Amino acid sequence: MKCQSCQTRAATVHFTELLDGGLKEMALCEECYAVKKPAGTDELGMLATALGAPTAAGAGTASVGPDATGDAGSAPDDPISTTCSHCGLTYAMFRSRGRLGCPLCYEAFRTALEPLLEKIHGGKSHVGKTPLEGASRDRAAERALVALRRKLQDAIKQENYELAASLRDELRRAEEGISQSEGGGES
Amino acid sequence: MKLAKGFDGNGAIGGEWLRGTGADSDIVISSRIRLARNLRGHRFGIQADPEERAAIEDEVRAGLGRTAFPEEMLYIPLADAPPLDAEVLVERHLISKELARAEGPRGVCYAPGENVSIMVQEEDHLRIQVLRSGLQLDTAWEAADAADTRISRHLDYAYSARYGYLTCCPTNVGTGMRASVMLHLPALVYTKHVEKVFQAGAKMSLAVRGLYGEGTQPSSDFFQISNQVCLGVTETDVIDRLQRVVPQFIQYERKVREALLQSDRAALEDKCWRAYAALRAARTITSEETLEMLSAVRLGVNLGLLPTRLTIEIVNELFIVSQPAHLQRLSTGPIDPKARDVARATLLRTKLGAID
Ligand SMILES: [Zn+2]
Ligand SMILES: [Zn+2]
Repeated sequence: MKCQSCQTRAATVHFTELLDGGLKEMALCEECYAVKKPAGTDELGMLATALGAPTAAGAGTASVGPDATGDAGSAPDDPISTTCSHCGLTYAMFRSRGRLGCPLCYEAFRTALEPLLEKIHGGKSHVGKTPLEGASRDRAAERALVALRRKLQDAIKQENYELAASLRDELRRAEEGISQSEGGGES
Repeated sequence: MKLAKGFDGNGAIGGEWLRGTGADSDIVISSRIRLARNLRGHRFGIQADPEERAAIEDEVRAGLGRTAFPEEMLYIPLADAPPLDAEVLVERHLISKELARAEGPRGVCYAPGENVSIMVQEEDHLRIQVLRSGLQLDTAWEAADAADTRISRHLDYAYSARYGYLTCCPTNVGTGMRASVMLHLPALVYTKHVEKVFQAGAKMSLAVRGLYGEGTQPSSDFFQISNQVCLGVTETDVIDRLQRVVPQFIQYERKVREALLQSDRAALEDKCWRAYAALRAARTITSEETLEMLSAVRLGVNLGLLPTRLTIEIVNELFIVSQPAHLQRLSTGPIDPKARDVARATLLRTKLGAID
């Protein structure tokens, strides 16, 4: 059977797709499937698999990697030995139970967590709701940053790459500003 | 906010979300939005010691107490509530099993109509949950968003500009939002087409779960579809996507129902009427059989095969009130499983007999 997309290579991946008219059986080659599959498809049983838990779907899921943190190979130190100074959780403990200890763990384990978050969600940074300029904290800078990210997403969607490039620069500057002001993180 | 020692609601009737009023409520039982939120400056429950957990409950409870909700809310401190009441709340979908069976300071704040509930110290410090009848993820989101905004005036949420709402499990970080619909797909299960729903869901990074079932084989005709992604997407993106995709599952189920009616109407009528008869006549009945029979009756009602005085609201409610904790609550003393099956049969006979 030929691939339904390129009509040349042999179809090796069969799946059902939901299109406007209902469900449709699809048969694609590896290459076309890699392009067509929706983001996040491989992240079923996400966290367990991403963390390389032995219980996840067996050893066959090697594509997701036995150790997601291995992707952070550029990180200078071994993330396993990292500890969150605020709550005392070690990265090894996080890996064994899949739960973080406190909000500041996200900063403490940032290098190791980032590739993991990308595996789980497909996205790297928040574009959703922002808290009100609230009870005890000025959220204006955070709101502006998230709004900027959303604008960038729209520009990319509309293929307005010129705008996207300038938004990206603006975003980089804004992110640097915020991470400086967030510093070690008050609590 | 009123303090309650346990669940004082009428256990014989269901919450507002069971009324069968929303769009496509023949197939979509309910739509749910859940938002995970945590307080800045506290450990998550799993890492906190008992004193901190107590402090968190106090802080959240005080914040909820100051929040101006559209209607007066009830608060049940679950550490002191009877365990049976907690199980009743689980069966009514107001709290999770995990919250009911956990220990230590925790609670639930909910609206008397049972459309909104806020779990305190589940995995996250707060889990705001809105339930709606039928396919209404958009209005459920509006209500959850509004409740969240109101609460955020009184509680300082853990939030970072990079990662959004910070949650105990990294699968929730970002929006902290899980949007889900509960679907009744008896025709797809009956014709063994339901596997395709699972596959299609997986391809669109949606999670499809069999409800009530334990293993991998669907043991009932009920399924929950929810988003998996919380980071790098907006809440409305996720909801729009589900609101676009779910109707396709609905159409698929409807098409198969139609085909069944045309190819073998007698067999389908027989299945629905036999189920109806069994529920009206049984002297003892297990929860598994009840689930199966009620599912067939629900299908019969939706296809107009059963008496019209039998409404979807009545059937939806029977799913809730025939569960173990609800039955236990109706009886004066403790009942063993055998007596419970008798009590269940009696309840079903009485409820279904009353509409003749
Ligand atoms: Zn191809
Ligand atoms: Zn921590």
